[in-house]
Amino acid sequence: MTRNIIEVSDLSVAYAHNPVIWHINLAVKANSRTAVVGPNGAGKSTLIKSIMNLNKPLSGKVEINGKKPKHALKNIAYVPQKGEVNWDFPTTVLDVVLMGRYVHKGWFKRMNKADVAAAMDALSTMKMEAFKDRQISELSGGQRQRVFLARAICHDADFYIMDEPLQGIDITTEKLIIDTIKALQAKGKSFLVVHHNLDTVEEYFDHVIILNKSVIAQGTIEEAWKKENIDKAYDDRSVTT
Amino acid sequence: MIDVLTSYTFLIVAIGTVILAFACGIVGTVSVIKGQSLIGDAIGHATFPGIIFAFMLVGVMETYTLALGAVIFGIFAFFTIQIITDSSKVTLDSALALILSSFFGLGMALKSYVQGHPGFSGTQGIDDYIFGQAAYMLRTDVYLIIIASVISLLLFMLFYSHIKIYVFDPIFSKSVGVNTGLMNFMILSMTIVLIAVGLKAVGAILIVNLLIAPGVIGLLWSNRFPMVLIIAGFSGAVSAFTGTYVSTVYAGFATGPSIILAMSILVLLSMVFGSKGLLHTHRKRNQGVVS
Amino acid sequence: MIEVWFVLIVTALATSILGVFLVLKGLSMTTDAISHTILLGIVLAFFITQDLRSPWLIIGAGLIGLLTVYLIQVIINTRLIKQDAAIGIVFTALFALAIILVSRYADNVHLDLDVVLMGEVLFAPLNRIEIFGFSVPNALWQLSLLLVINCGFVALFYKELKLSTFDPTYAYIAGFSTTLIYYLLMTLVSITAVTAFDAVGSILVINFFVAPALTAYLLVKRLSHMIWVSFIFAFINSTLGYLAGDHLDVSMSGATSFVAFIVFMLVFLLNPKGFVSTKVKQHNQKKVFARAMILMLMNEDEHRTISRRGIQSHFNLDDKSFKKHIEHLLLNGYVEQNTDGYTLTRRGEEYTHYTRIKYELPAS
Repeated sequence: MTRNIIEVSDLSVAYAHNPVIWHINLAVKANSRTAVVGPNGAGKSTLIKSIMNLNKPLSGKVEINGKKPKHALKNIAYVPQKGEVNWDFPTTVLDVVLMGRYVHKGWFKRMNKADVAAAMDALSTMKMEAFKDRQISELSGGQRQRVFLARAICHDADFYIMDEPLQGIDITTEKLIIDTIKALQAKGKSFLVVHHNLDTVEEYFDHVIILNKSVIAQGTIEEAWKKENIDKAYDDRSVTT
Repeated sequence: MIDVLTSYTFLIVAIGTVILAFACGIVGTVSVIKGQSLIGDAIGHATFPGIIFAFMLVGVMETYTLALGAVIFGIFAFFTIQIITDSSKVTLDSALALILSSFFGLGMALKSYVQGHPGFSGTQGIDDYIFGQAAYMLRTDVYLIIIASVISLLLFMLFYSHIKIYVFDPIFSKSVGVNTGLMNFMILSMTIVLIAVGLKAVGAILIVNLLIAPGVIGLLWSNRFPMVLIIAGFSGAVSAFTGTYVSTVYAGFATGPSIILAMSILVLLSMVFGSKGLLHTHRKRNQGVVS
Repeated sequence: MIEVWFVLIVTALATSILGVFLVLKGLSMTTDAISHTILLGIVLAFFITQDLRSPWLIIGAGLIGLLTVYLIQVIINTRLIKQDAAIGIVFTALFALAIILVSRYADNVHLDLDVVLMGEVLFAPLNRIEIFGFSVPNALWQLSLLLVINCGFVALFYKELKLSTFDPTYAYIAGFSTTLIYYLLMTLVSITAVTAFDAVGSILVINFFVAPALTAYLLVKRLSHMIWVSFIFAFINSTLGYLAGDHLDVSMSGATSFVAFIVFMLVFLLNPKGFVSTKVKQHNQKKVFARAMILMLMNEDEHRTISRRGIQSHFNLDDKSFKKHIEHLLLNGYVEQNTDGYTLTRRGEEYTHYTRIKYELPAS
């Protein structure tokens, strides 16, 4: 029986008095690759933002390693959705990856050689060393995603939260990202990934949470990834009746 | 003409405009990157009635009071824009035009009232705040600019990493513990205060240029945020010095407009010759290196 | 004096009909840029003709207005500078140039910057012209002519304007030249702005363009209605501005601009779907929602009977709001109080079914 890295109990979140997620009880196993799937508007992004304490829940609580999220943020590496980033910002690839070190440095200390070395390591893991001085806006979608994963690696957290990291990227990058995730898992890291492609869930992940406003099913792929659960999540009628 | 450089008036004015333009360049770069350049324009125009209200209250052109009036109206204008765009279908573009012209209209109405009213004296200085006439800057005006600029720059340096991550990637910045609301508030207050203290030097209409043009120049020369900021600060300072010099030596060149013209020439040159400018990208394209 | 009022109204009407499209196309700040830069056109044409009344001023300023739009477009097309920054840089540069030209070379002739900025509608009747044997103020005649031209333009190209405003891509595919419509519109904007500058000044004219159109925009759903309603607001604003200017002895265009803002804010706050009613509605929704959530909690098996403390800690409620909610629920018979705490009544239970459907909540 493995330990839970995240425990969510009775979590409900409402935006403008409309419940987006409802009575969520879930656990993410330590050292797992857990996918969050569900139709559009199922509350996937809301769920991961609540886990990171980025919005105020209506009720319920989240614990990360038995601590409140606020005190566990240092240990979470977050990979944002594409639309959240200001692509006009003048910054190079290496610079973005170095941002992953900020949490460890304290805010007012400068980066040193060890930080740069860590960033270069992360870049080479993602096969992006050659691009280190490129401006982030000059990269393709797949290359950008690699940079953000490199930033997360550089952050050196135990737990990774990713919001649709595989959306709109090339197949080579997709494979590289999944291989990297598996390699990191072998080193003891845990992953919670919002995922949109139902065809690849079994291949890429070992645990799954099927969400549609509340949790439809969760557990290992064998336990939870069943046709009736998927149908239930993606069939609107099951929600309103 | 060399003795101009050591004359007392010139020094006072030059110190004031150079420091102001340096600080505006650095703070303004953030709004350029965020795509909110014209908010500064609306705030600039909107401070004008604040100047006149302050004058009406105290009856003299007293630097600190007028600046305070400008700040209050700047904040008021900003929040009105915010409320209108947040809770109606009116776009930012239209809301800016509305607020800018309405507040400036109020300023114009108040100005005509004050100037037509025998109870107020010494009103001819009001126009300096519209077009900027740095030659009439007083020592206190320069002190105020120095205080505001130095505080802004110190805050900016202190929170540099926070600001950088916040502007680039707001949600990530929240996830690593940056107080995004505080960052936003800080940038906004710095912008409004710099506008307020710079009105007499550059004028309500043109001050937005000091906030936009340096950042644009910086972005045309570098890919790196710290470099962009430094280039922005210095191109602001160089333009301010050149403009002030020209306006001191040649009759009929008001300081504000001269600085803006110097800055515009720099923008034009950077667009052509900048390392990300037309010539460079053109050459790169011909060599087929652009990704 | 009545002629002054007429000039204001005609200006407001002629500008606001174009303003409707400027607002909808997101060109308000571009127009603001034009209204600043036409000063350069006026100054240049004035240097050539040495006459502030010359029609060349209108042509010169109109051309500079177009040049402004074109320059902004060229800069955006290089993709080196973003739109908002491009607008800010172009207008300040041309305006600064104009000010320097005025202060350097026009000191000995009368080109008063004050008049350029805020106009002086009071002087409008002094400059008159004979039309069909009647003596009318020149400004009134020119602006009336422009009102007719602008209305004619909108009537003639109504379909094209509508299409290029709402769906430029479709308009392009359907074979309308959106660029031609765009530059025609901006030409009229420039000419209207420069004609109006005598009366209302070059900076405040932007207010005459956008304020009535924006106020109308808050109230209507159809383009044709927006035009008519903005005419009404143009009339109201300029009339109130005229009265205020007259009574308080202040600049009439300044007064009209600020009146326009107050009218806009009143409509913004008080219209049936406005700020105040939305806030009130949201507040009520919040109360209804909080109460529904309390009932939902009590509908769960493990919370059939729940203490005050249990509810408060679950929802993080303070004493005051808890009391308000629970009193409401008791009064309406949704819950009842007993020794251990609170339980749902039958009515409350029914309400939870309704809640489940209303907020599309899954069965637990």
